[in-house]
Amino acid sequence: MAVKKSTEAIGGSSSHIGSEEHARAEAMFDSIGTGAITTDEKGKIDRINIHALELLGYRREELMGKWFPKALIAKDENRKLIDPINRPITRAFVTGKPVNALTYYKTKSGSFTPVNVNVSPIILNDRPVGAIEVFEDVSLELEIDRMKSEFISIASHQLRTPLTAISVYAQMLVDGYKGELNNEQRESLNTIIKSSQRMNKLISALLDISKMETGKINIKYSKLDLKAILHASVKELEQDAIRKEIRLTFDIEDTKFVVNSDALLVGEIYSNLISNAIKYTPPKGKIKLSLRDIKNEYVLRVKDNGYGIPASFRDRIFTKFARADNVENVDTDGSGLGLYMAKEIANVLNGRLWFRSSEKQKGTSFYFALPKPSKPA
Amino acid sequence: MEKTYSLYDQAIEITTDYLGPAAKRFIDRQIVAHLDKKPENLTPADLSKLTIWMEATVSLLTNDKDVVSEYINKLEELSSTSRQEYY
Repeated sequence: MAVKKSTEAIGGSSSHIGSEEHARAEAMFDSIGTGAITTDEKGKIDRINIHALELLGYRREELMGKWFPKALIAKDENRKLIDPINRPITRAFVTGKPVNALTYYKTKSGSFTPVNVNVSPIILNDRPVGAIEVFEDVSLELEIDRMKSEFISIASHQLRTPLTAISVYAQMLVDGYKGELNNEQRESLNTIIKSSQRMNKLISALLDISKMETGKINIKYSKLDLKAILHASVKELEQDAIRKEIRLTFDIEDTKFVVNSDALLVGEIYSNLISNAIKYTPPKGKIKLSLRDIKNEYVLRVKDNGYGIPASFRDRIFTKFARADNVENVDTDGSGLGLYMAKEIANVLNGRLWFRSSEKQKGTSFYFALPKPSKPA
Repeated sequence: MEKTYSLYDQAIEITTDYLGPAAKRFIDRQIVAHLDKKPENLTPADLSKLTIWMEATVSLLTNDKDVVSEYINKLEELSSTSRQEYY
Protein backbone atom coordinates (compact mmCIF):
# COMPACT_ATOMS: atom_id res chain seq x y z
CA MET A 1 0.00 0.00 0.00
CA ALA A 2 2.75 2.34 1.00
CA VAL A 3 4.62 1.56 -2.22
CA LYS A 4 1.52 2.26 -4.25
CA LYS A 5 1.02 5.57 -2.53
CA SER A 6 4.57 6.46 -3.00
CA THR A 7 4.29 5.58 -6.70
CA GLU A 8 1.14 7.63 -7.00
CA ALA A 9 2.87 10.55 -5.39
CA ILE A 10 5.83 10.22 -7.71
CA GLY A 11 3.50 9.67 -10.64
CA GLY A 12 1.53 12.78 -9.79
CA SER A 13 4.65 14.82 -9.37
CA SER A 14 6.35 13.56 -12.52
CA SER A 15 3.17 14.07 -14.51
CA HIS A 16 3.06 17.67 -13.26
CA ILE A 17 6.70 18.15 -14.25
CA GLY A 18 5.94 16.42 -17.56
CA SER A 19 3.09 18.74 -18.42
CA GLU A 20 5.15 21.78 -17.42
CA GLU A 21 7.98 20.60 -19.65
CA HIS A 22 5.53 19.92 -22.43
CA ALA A 23 4.04 23.42 -22.09
CA ARG A 24 7.54 24.90 -22.05
CA ALA A 25 8.48 22.96 -25.19
CA GLU A 26 5.27 24.13 -26.91
CA ALA A 27 6.00 27.74 -25.91
CA MET A 28 9.54 27.45 -27.24
CA PHE A 29 8.27 25.97 -30.48
CA ASP A 30 5.74 28.80 -30.87
CA SER A 31 8.40 31.40 -30.17
CA ILE A 32 10.47 30.33 -33.21
CA GLY A 33 10.13 33.31 -35.54
CA THR A 34 9.19 31.20 -38.58
CA GLY A 35 6.72 28.44 -39.34
CA ALA A 36 7.80 25.10 -37.84
CA ILE A 37 6.33 21.61 -38.12
CA THR A 38 7.58 18.29 -36.83
CA THR A 39 6.48 14.84 -37.93
CA ASP A 40 6.92 11.41 -36.45
CA GLU A 41 8.74 8.61 -38.30
CA LYS A 42 5.55 7.74 -40.19
CA GLY A 43 5.21 11.24 -41.59
CA LYS A 44 2.35 12.25 -39.25
CA ILE A 45 2.37 15.85 -38.06
CA ASP A 46 2.93 15.82 -34.31
CA ARG A 47 3.73 19.46 -33.66
CA ILE A 48 2.99 22.71 -35.48
CA ASN A 49 3.66 26.21 -34.29
CA ILE A 50 1.54 29.32 -34.38
CA HIS A 51 3.47 30.93 -37.28
CA ALA A 52 2.94 27.89 -39.50
CA LEU A 53 -0.78 27.96 -38.69
CA GLU A 54 -1.02 31.67 -39.47
CA LEU A 55 0.86 31.24 -42.74
CA LEU A 56 -1.19 28.27 -43.89
CA GLY A 57 -4.51 29.53 -42.52
CA TYR A 58 -5.38 26.33 -40.62
CA ARG A 59 -6.37 25.65 -37.02
CA ARG A 60 -4.05 23.38 -35.09
CA GLU A 61 -6.55 20.52 -34.87
CA GLU A 62 -6.98 20.55 -38.66
CA LEU A 63 -3.36 19.52 -39.18
CA MET A 64 -2.29 17.64 -36.05
CA GLY A 65 -1.96 13.90 -36.65
CA LYS A 66 -2.44 14.31 -40.40
CA TRP A 67 -0.10 12.68 -42.89
CA PHE A 68 2.31 15.46 -43.90
CA PRO A 69 2.42 14.94 -47.70
CA LYS A 70 -1.39 15.04 -47.90
CA ALA A 71 -1.91 17.82 -45.36
CA LEU A 72 0.53 20.18 -47.07
CA ILE A 73 0.20 20.20 -50.85
CA ALA A 74 3.43 21.53 -52.37
CA LYS A 75 4.46 22.92 -55.74
CA ASP A 76 7.97 23.59 -56.96
CA GLU A 77 9.56 26.78 -58.34
CA ASN A 78 7.88 26.17 -61.69
CA ARG A 79 4.52 25.85 -59.95
CA LYS A 80 4.25 22.15 -60.71
CA LEU A 81 3.06 19.70 -58.06
CA ILE A 82 6.09 18.03 -56.49
CA ASP A 83 6.20 14.24 -56.71
CA PRO A 84 6.21 12.73 -53.20
CA ILE A 85 9.72 11.33 -53.82
CA ASN A 86 11.08 14.77 -54.66
CA ARG A 87 9.54 16.67 -51.77
CA PRO A 88 12.12 18.31 -49.48
CA ILE A 89 11.05 16.20 -46.48
CA THR A 90 11.47 12.95 -48.46
CA ARG A 91 14.84 14.09 -49.82
CA ALA A 92 15.93 14.81 -46.24
CA PHE A 93 15.23 11.17 -45.32
CA VAL A 94 16.81 9.83 -48.50
CA THR A 95 20.03 11.75 -47.87
CA GLY A 96 19.91 11.94 -44.07
CA LYS A 97 20.84 15.60 -44.41
CA PRO A 98 19.08 19.00 -44.21
CA VAL A 99 17.39 20.08 -47.43
CA ASN A 100 16.66 23.65 -48.42
CA ALA A 101 14.19 24.54 -51.17
CA LEU A 102 11.84 27.16 -52.48
CA THR A 103 8.39 25.61 -52.29
CA TYR A 104 4.83 26.82 -52.78
CA TYR A 105 2.47 25.56 -50.05
CA LYS A 106 -1.26 25.41 -50.55
CA THR A 107 -3.07 27.39 -47.87
CA LYS A 108 -6.54 26.67 -46.54
CA SER A 109 -7.98 29.35 -48.85
CA GLY A 110 -6.63 27.40 -51.86
CA SER A 111 -3.92 29.87 -52.87
CA PHE A 112 -0.23 28.89 -52.99
CA THR A 113 2.29 30.81 -50.86
CA PRO A 114 6.03 30.75 -51.64
CA VAL A 115 8.08 29.59 -48.69
CA ASN A 116 11.73 28.93 -48.14
CA VAL A 117 11.76 25.45 -46.60
CA ASN A 118 14.53 23.95 -44.50
CA VAL A 119 13.90 20.39 -43.36
CA SER A 120 16.06 17.92 -41.45
CA PRO A 121 15.54 14.39 -40.22
CA ILE A 122 15.45 14.03 -36.44
CA ILE A 123 17.87 11.27 -35.49
CA LEU A 124 17.86 9.54 -32.12
CA ASN A 125 20.23 6.65 -31.38
CA ASP A 126 21.08 6.38 -35.09
CA ARG A 127 17.42 6.02 -36.04
CA PRO A 128 15.25 8.56 -37.83
CA VAL A 129 12.40 9.32 -35.46
CA GLY A 130 10.82 12.13 -37.45
CA ALA A 131 11.56 15.37 -39.22
CA ILE A 132 11.56 19.04 -38.39
CA GLU A 133 10.70 21.58 -41.02
CA VAL A 134 11.00 25.33 -40.66
CA PHE A 135 9.72 27.64 -43.34
CA GLU A 136 9.17 31.31 -43.95
CA ASP A 137 7.04 33.31 -46.32
CA VAL A 138 9.18 34.75 -49.12
CA SER A 139 6.36 36.42 -51.12
CA LEU A 140 7.83 39.86 -50.51
CA GLU A 141 11.37 38.86 -51.56
CA LEU A 142 10.06 37.25 -54.77
CA GLU A 143 7.95 40.31 -55.54
CA ILE A 144 10.97 42.60 -55.05
CA ASP A 145 13.01 40.37 -57.38
CA ARG A 146 10.28 40.46 -59.99
CA MET A 147 10.00 44.26 -59.76
CA LYS A 148 13.77 44.61 -59.99
CA SER A 149 13.88 42.51 -63.16
CA GLU A 150 10.98 44.46 -64.62
CA PHE A 151 12.75 47.73 -63.84
CA ILE A 152 15.93 46.50 -65.56
CA SER A 153 13.90 45.44 -68.57
CA ILE A 154 12.14 48.81 -68.91
CA ALA A 155 15.30 50.81 -68.20
CA SER A 156 17.28 48.78 -70.76
CA HIS A 157 14.66 49.38 -73.47
CA GLN A 158 14.66 53.11 -72.70
CA LEU A 159 18.48 53.24 -72.80
CA ARG A 160 18.70 51.47 -76.12
CA THR A 161 16.72 54.09 -78.10
CA PRO A 162 19.03 57.09 -77.49
CA LEU A 163 22.04 54.81 -77.80
CA THR A 164 21.02 53.81 -81.32
CA ALA A 165 20.83 57.49 -82.29
CA ILE A 166 24.30 58.14 -80.81
CA SER A 167 25.80 55.21 -82.77
CA VAL A 168 24.11 56.05 -86.07
CA TYR A 169 25.02 59.75 -86.00
CA ALA A 170 28.59 59.05 -84.91
CA GLN A 171 28.94 56.57 -87.78
CA MET A 172 27.54 59.14 -90.22
CA LEU A 173 30.14 61.66 -89.05
CA VAL A 174 32.96 59.12 -89.45
CA ASP A 175 31.70 58.28 -92.93
CA GLY A 176 32.02 61.97 -93.88
CA TYR A 177 28.31 62.82 -94.31
CA LYS A 178 28.81 66.14 -92.49
CA GLY A 179 32.14 67.04 -94.01
CA GLU A 180 35.76 65.99 -93.82
CA LEU A 181 37.26 65.10 -90.42
CA ASN A 182 40.79 65.38 -89.15
CA ASN A 183 42.44 62.34 -87.53
CA GLU A 184 41.82 63.50 -83.99
CA GLN A 185 38.09 64.00 -84.68
CA ARG A 186 37.88 60.59 -86.37
CA GLU A 187 39.59 58.91 -83.44
CA SER A 188 37.22 60.55 -80.96
CA LEU A 189 34.20 59.43 -82.95
CA ASN A 190 35.54 55.88 -83.23
CA THR A 191 35.85 55.83 -79.44
CA ILE A 192 32.20 56.95 -79.18
CA ILE A 193 31.11 54.18 -81.58
CA LYS A 194 33.13 51.54 -79.75
CA SER A 195 31.74 52.61 -76.39
CA SER A 196 28.19 52.63 -77.78
CA GLN A 197 28.68 49.09 -79.05
CA ARG A 198 29.93 48.01 -75.63
CA MET A 199 26.95 49.62 -73.95
CA ASN A 200 24.62 47.99 -76.46
CA LYS A 201 26.07 44.58 -75.62
CA LEU A 202 25.66 45.25 -71.91
CA ILE A 203 22.03 46.29 -72.41
CA SER A 204 21.36 43.13 -74.43
CA ALA A 205 22.85 41.05 -71.65
CA LEU A 206 20.74 42.82 -69.03
CA LEU A 207 17.62 42.30 -71.12
CA ASP A 208 18.40 38.60 -71.56
CA ILE A 209 18.96 38.21 -67.82
CA SER A 210 15.75 40.03 -67.08
CA LYS A 211 13.88 37.68 -69.45
CA MET A 212 15.38 34.66 -67.76
CA GLU A 213 14.68 35.89 -64.25
CA THR A 214 11.07 36.71 -65.03
CA GLY A 215 10.60 33.37 -66.78
CA LYS A 216 9.95 35.06 -70.14
CA ILE A 217 12.71 33.28 -72.00
CA ASN A 218 11.35 31.50 -75.02
CA ILE A 219 12.88 28.05 -75.53
CA LYS A 220 12.53 26.61 -79.01
CA TYR A 221 13.31 22.90 -78.87
CA SER A 222 14.49 21.15 -82.01
CA LYS A 223 16.83 18.35 -83.04
CA LEU A 224 20.37 19.79 -82.85
CA ASP A 225 23.77 18.66 -84.01
CA LEU A 226 26.17 19.86 -81.30
CA LYS A 227 29.18 19.50 -83.64
CA ALA A 228 27.61 22.00 -86.05
CA ILE A 229 26.87 24.44 -83.23
CA LEU A 230 30.42 24.12 -81.95
CA HIS A 231 31.87 24.80 -85.41
CA ALA A 232 29.59 27.82 -85.90
CA SER A 233 30.69 29.25 -82.54
CA VAL A 234 34.35 28.71 -83.40
CA LYS A 235 33.92 30.35 -86.81
CA GLU A 236 32.35 33.38 -85.16
CA LEU A 237 35.30 33.81 -82.79
CA GLU A 238 38.33 32.42 -84.65
CA GLN A 239 39.48 35.88 -85.80
CA ASP A 240 39.91 36.90 -82.15
CA ALA A 241 42.07 33.80 -81.61
CA ILE A 242 44.10 34.46 -84.77
CA ARG A 243 44.76 38.06 -83.66
CA LYS A 244 46.26 36.73 -80.41
CA GLU A 245 48.02 33.86 -82.21
CA ILE A 246 46.20 31.39 -79.99
CA ARG A 247 46.19 27.79 -81.25
CA LEU A 248 42.75 26.16 -81.29
CA THR A 249 42.71 22.37 -81.34
CA PHE A 250 39.81 19.93 -81.41
CA ASP A 251 39.21 16.53 -79.86
CA ILE A 252 35.80 15.42 -81.04
CA GLU A 253 34.68 11.81 -80.87
CA ASP A 254 33.57 10.23 -84.10
CA THR A 255 29.95 9.87 -83.06
CA LYS A 256 26.68 11.75 -83.48
CA PHE A 257 26.01 14.41 -80.89
CA VAL A 258 22.31 14.98 -81.44
CA VAL A 259 20.11 16.48 -78.71
CA ASN A 260 16.69 18.07 -78.36
CA SER A 261 17.44 21.60 -77.26
CA ASP A 262 17.45 25.27 -78.27
CA ALA A 263 20.08 26.06 -80.91
CA LEU A 264 20.36 29.74 -80.04
CA LEU A 265 20.77 29.14 -76.32
CA VAL A 266 23.24 26.27 -76.70
CA GLY A 267 25.22 28.44 -79.15
CA GLU A 268 25.17 31.28 -76.61
CA ILE A 269 26.85 29.05 -74.00
CA TYR A 270 29.38 27.58 -76.46
CA SER A 271 30.32 31.07 -77.72
CA ASN A 272 30.55 32.43 -74.20
CA LEU A 273 32.94 29.70 -73.05
CA ILE A 274 35.14 29.92 -76.14
CA SER A 275 35.18 33.72 -76.08
CA ASN A 276 36.20 33.69 -72.40
CA ALA A 277 38.97 31.20 -73.11
CA ILE A 278 40.32 33.45 -75.88
CA LYS A 279 40.06 36.58 -73.72
CA TYR A 280 41.76 35.05 -70.71
CA THR A 281 44.56 33.18 -72.47
CA PRO A 282 47.77 35.12 -73.13
CA PRO A 283 48.97 35.61 -76.75
CA LYS A 284 50.39 32.43 -78.34
CA GLY A 285 48.48 30.31 -75.85
CA LYS A 286 46.51 27.11 -76.48
CA ILE A 287 42.83 26.25 -76.32
CA LYS A 288 41.54 22.72 -76.72
CA LEU A 289 37.89 21.99 -77.47
CA SER A 290 36.59 18.49 -76.74
CA LEU A 291 33.15 17.04 -77.28
CA ARG A 292 32.53 13.73 -75.56
CA ASP A 293 29.83 11.17 -75.01
CA ILE A 294 29.88 10.47 -71.26
CA LYS A 295 27.19 8.22 -69.76
CA ASN A 296 23.89 9.97 -70.43
CA GLU A 297 25.29 13.35 -71.40
CA TYR A 298 27.21 15.07 -74.17
CA VAL A 299 29.97 17.15 -72.62
CA LEU A 300 31.82 20.08 -74.16
CA ARG A 301 35.15 20.89 -72.54
CA VAL A 302 36.90 24.19 -73.25
CA LYS A 303 40.41 23.91 -71.90
CA ASP A 304 42.86 26.82 -71.97
CA ASN A 305 46.32 27.47 -70.60
CA GLY A 306 45.41 30.98 -69.54
CA TYR A 307 45.55 32.94 -66.32
CA GLY A 308 43.36 30.56 -64.32
CA ILE A 309 40.76 31.53 -61.76
CA PRO A 310 41.95 32.60 -58.31
CA ALA A 311 40.82 30.22 -55.56
CA SER A 312 39.25 33.12 -53.65
CA PHE A 313 37.00 33.89 -56.62
CA ARG A 314 35.85 30.41 -57.60
CA ASP A 315 32.66 30.31 -55.54
CA ARG A 316 31.50 33.63 -57.06
CA ILE A 317 32.29 32.92 -60.68
CA PHE A 318 28.69 32.26 -61.71
CA THR A 319 27.25 35.28 -59.88
CA LYS A 320 26.16 38.55 -61.51
CA PHE A 321 28.85 41.18 -62.23
CA ALA A 322 31.57 38.89 -60.91
CA ARG A 323 35.06 39.63 -62.24
CA ALA A 324 38.29 38.10 -60.95
CA ASP A 325 41.05 40.48 -59.82
CA ASN A 326 43.66 38.79 -62.00
CA VAL A 327 41.85 39.56 -65.28
CA GLU A 328 40.38 43.03 -64.70
CA ASN A 329 43.36 44.57 -66.47
CA VAL A 330 43.43 41.92 -69.19
CA ASP A 331 39.87 42.48 -70.38
CA THR A 332 38.51 45.90 -69.55
CA ASP A 333 35.37 45.33 -71.65
CA GLY A 334 33.97 42.44 -69.61
CA SER A 335 30.66 43.02 -67.86
CA GLY A 336 30.84 40.05 -65.52
CA LEU A 337 27.48 38.83 -66.83
CA GLY A 338 28.52 36.18 -69.36
CA LEU A 339 29.06 33.23 -67.05
CA TYR A 340 26.07 34.13 -64.91
CA MET A 341 23.93 34.04 -68.05
CA ALA A 342 25.55 30.84 -69.29
CA LYS A 343 24.82 29.12 -65.97
CA GLU A 344 21.21 30.33 -65.98
CA ILE A 345 20.74 29.12 -69.57
CA ALA A 346 22.34 25.77 -68.72
CA ASN A 347 19.81 25.34 -65.90
CA VAL A 348 16.91 26.28 -68.16
CA LEU A 349 18.06 23.62 -70.65
CA ASN A 350 18.46 20.98 -67.90
CA GLY A 351 22.21 21.05 -68.56
CA ARG A 352 25.17 21.38 -66.23
CA LEU A 353 27.98 23.93 -66.29
CA TRP A 354 31.08 23.68 -64.12
CA PHE A 355 34.82 24.29 -64.20
CA ARG A 356 38.23 23.25 -62.94
CA SER A 357 40.98 25.77 -62.63
CA SER A 358 44.55 26.30 -61.55
CA GLU A 359 46.43 29.57 -61.27
CA LYS A 360 49.77 27.89 -61.79
CA GLN A 361 50.05 28.26 -65.57
CA LYS A 362 47.66 25.37 -66.09
CA GLY A 363 44.66 27.47 -67.02
CA THR A 364 41.02 26.56 -66.76
CA SER A 365 38.68 23.92 -68.12
CA PHE A 366 34.98 24.72 -68.44
CA TYR A 367 32.50 21.88 -68.96
CA PHE A 368 29.00 22.12 -70.34
CA ALA A 369 26.92 18.94 -70.32
CA LEU A 370 23.59 18.47 -72.05
CA PRO A 371 21.42 15.42 -71.40
CA LYS A 372 21.06 12.94 -74.21
CA PRO A 373 17.49 12.54 -75.42
CA SER A 374 15.64 9.70 -73.63
CA LYS A 375 14.75 8.29 -77.05
CA PRO A 376 17.23 8.68 -79.90
CA ALA A 377 16.74 12.23 -81.24
CA MET B 1 31.28 -10.85 -54.37
CA GLU B 2 28.53 -12.47 -56.37
CA LYS B 3 26.32 -12.82 -53.32
CA THR B 4 26.63 -9.15 -52.28
CA TYR B 5 25.84 -8.02 -55.82
CA SER B 6 22.89 -10.36 -55.80
CA LEU B 7 21.65 -8.81 -52.55
CA TYR B 8 21.72 -5.33 -54.10
CA ASP B 9 19.97 -6.70 -57.16
CA GLN B 10 17.29 -8.35 -55.06
CA ALA B 11 16.74 -5.20 -53.01
CA ILE B 12 16.10 -3.32 -56.24
CA GLU B 13 13.79 -6.06 -57.46
CA ILE B 14 11.70 -5.86 -54.27
CA THR B 15 11.66 -2.06 -54.39
CA THR B 16 10.63 -2.02 -58.06
CA ASP B 17 7.34 -3.67 -57.06
CA TYR B 18 6.57 -0.60 -54.96
CA LEU B 19 8.36 2.31 -56.64
CA GLY B 20 8.59 1.20 -60.26
CA PRO B 21 11.47 2.60 -62.31
CA ALA B 22 12.49 4.95 -59.47
CA ALA B 23 13.62 1.94 -57.42
CA LYS B 24 17.27 1.81 -58.48
CA ARG B 25 17.85 5.51 -57.93
CA PHE B 26 16.01 5.33 -54.60
CA ILE B 27 18.21 2.48 -53.34
CA ASP B 28 21.44 3.89 -54.79
CA ARG B 29 20.97 7.33 -53.25
CA GLN B 30 20.28 5.90 -49.80
CA ILE B 31 23.23 3.52 -49.89
CA VAL B 32 25.58 6.34 -50.89
CA ALA B 33 24.09 8.88 -48.45
CA HIS B 34 23.67 6.71 -45.36
CA LEU B 35 26.42 4.14 -45.81
CA ASP B 36 28.92 6.10 -47.92
CA LYS B 37 29.74 3.12 -50.11
CA LYS B 38 29.22 1.84 -53.63
CA PRO B 39 25.71 0.38 -54.08
CA GLU B 40 27.09 -2.91 -55.50
CA ASN B 41 28.97 -3.48 -52.23
CA LEU B 42 25.80 -3.69 -50.14
CA THR B 43 26.03 -6.31 -47.37
CA PRO B 44 23.21 -7.86 -45.32
CA ALA B 45 24.26 -5.78 -42.28
CA ASP B 46 24.12 -2.64 -44.42
CA LEU B 47 20.66 -3.51 -45.67
CA SER B 48 19.45 -4.02 -42.14
CA LYS B 49 20.72 -0.55 -41.18
CA LEU B 50 19.29 0.97 -44.31
CA THR B 51 15.85 -0.51 -43.76
CA ILE B 52 15.32 1.86 -40.83
CA TRP B 53 15.78 4.85 -43.15
CA MET B 54 13.80 3.27 -45.95
CA GLU B 55 10.81 2.78 -43.68
CA ALA B 56 10.81 6.48 -42.79
CA THR B 57 11.19 7.48 -46.45
CA VAL B 58 8.55 5.15 -47.81
CA SER B 59 6.18 6.35 -45.08
CA LEU B 60 6.28 9.70 -46.86
CA LEU B 61 5.44 8.15 -50.20
CA THR B 62 2.34 6.25 -49.11
CA ASN B 63 -0.01 6.56 -46.19
CA ASP B 64 -0.91 2.89 -46.44
CA LYS B 65 0.68 1.31 -43.36
CA ASP B 66 0.12 -2.21 -44.67
CA VAL B 67 2.05 -1.50 -47.86
CA VAL B 68 4.91 0.08 -45.89
CA SER B 69 5.19 -2.85 -43.48
CA GLU B 70 4.90 -5.40 -46.31
CA TYR B 71 7.79 -3.70 -48.13
CA ILE B 72 9.92 -3.38 -45.00
CA ASN B 73 9.23 -6.99 -43.99
CA LYS B 74 10.41 -8.18 -47.39
CA LEU B 75 13.64 -6.17 -47.05
CA GLU B 76 14.21 -7.43 -43.49
CA GLU B 77 13.60 -10.98 -44.63
CA LEU B 78 16.06 -10.51 -47.48
CA SER B 79 18.61 -9.08 -45.08
CA SER B 80 18.33 -11.94 -42.57
CA THR B 81 18.25 -14.71 -45.21
CA SER B 82 21.26 -13.25 -46.95
CA ARG B 83 23.04 -12.82 -43.63
CA GLN B 84 22.78 -16.57 -43.00
CA GLU B 85 24.14 -17.28 -46.47
CA TYR B 86 26.74 -14.57 -46.26
CA TYR B 87 28.46 -15.74 -43.07
